[in-house]
Amino acid sequence: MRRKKRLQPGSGGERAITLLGVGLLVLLTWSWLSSFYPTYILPSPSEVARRAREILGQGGLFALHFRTTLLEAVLGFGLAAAVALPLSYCLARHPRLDHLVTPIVVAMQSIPIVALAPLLVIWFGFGISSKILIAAMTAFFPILTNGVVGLKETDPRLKELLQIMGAGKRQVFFKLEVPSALPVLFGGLRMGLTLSVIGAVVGEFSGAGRGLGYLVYLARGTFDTALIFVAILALAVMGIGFYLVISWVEAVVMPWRRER
Amino acid sequence: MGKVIEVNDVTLAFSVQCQPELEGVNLAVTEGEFVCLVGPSGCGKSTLLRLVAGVLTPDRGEIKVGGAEKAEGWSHLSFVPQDSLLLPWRTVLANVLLPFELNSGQEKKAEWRAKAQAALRLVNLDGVEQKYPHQLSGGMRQRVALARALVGEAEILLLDEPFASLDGITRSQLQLEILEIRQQKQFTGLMVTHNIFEAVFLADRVVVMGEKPGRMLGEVGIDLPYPRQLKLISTPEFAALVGTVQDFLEKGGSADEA
Repeated sequence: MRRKKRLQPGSGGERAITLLGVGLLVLLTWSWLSSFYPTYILPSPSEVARRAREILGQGGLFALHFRTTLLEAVLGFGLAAAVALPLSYCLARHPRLDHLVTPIVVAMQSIPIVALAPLLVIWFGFGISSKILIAAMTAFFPILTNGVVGLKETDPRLKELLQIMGAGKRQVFFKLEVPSALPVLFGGLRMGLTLSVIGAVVGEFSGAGRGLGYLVYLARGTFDTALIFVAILALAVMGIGFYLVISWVEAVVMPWRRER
Repeated sequence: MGKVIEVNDVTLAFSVQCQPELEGVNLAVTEGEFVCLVGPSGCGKSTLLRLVAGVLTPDRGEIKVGGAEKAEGWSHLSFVPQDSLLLPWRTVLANVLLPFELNSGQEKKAEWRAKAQAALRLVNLDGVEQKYPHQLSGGMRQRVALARALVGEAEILLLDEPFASLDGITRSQLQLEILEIRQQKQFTGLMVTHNIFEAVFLADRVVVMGEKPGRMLGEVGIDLPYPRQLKLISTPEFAALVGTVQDFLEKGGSADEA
């Protein structure tokens, strides 16, 4: 029997209608629920919208917080990737080093970053550098492990074939090992990017003067629950933005997966 | 004509405890000849092919390819694997260009491209240059693998059960294409198969191998005329040759293999 190609994930219009419907449902439920509670426990959607307009009107203050967290997450992610990718190459290449280093990395990973964050703030200050470090540490592990797994995943038959064709070690690495690792590698980068936002916010909770995490921390103190919602929404927007960017990069770097 | 592939008394064991994979194997292929190795699975025929390709070294004995014991670079030799083994991130054209990229110092993109296109035409592939391997059928992928092997004008073609994973109809199509390509291009072929009919249909000579340990059982010269058509397989001459090969296999003590 001939089977049809797998259905494409809904057309643009269909998707938009679904999204709109779900969004509307959430909003209606939310505003219905909020009528039972005081604003400082559950503000209504309109209250959150009002608070958002208010803070957005305060001369770039909100933009500053947003930019700060964005910068911390992006730089933290960049730092994590810059260290994790070369290291994963070394670990994949030298199994002995892998045996030596991996237990240390796993041990480090098992320390909750939330517990470590205050220490890093004490050491590196209230500024942006301690947050970058915390974000980097949060993002580091999945990038590293996926890198190692990806680079080790090369099909040995393909490697042999390339050797028969006369490929040297460098050529095997760049023309075979790297491209075949890319899908797994990107899985790690995707996770790392999301985690770096969490890291940045955790860092800001532990002591900061700006950032969306700091805003949440501040709003909690004054029971400005609507502001917490605004900050959470902003973080969600950031997450979606990251997702779109990395999806786009993936499609550019791995065009052969686009038409699957 | 000179011997292009020579395997002299080769023994290979993957581990000390086990029986050797190959024991005292001899094989010679002369220039322009097409030889098929048949035998039950596990008789080491693919291993022998990998030895000739130079990715394995024998424990004992010697292997000469193209006259030299260890030719520098294996660019005069190309390999067609069982499952096409195309690089999934490369288009069909880029896959066929790979041997050039790996071996040539300077870039002659236009020249390579023309050769790659010619190789694709040779295997009857048109209009799929920009497609990715996963967009092709199994038979088309195997044709691309064949084009990749032919593109560099290699003198020796090693084929490791190239049609084993194809359906019957596609398989006989590709068998006919191999015969046709042999009319157009001059090369020496060594092909591994476990299909006796395929071996007799394609080869100038069929070499029969036995298992445990992998060894030579005998060989059968195939003096069927070229060009060969599919109806050849229903002739008594063909049946007689298949029978001879069968006899060698049965004498080898592997009666369970047909």
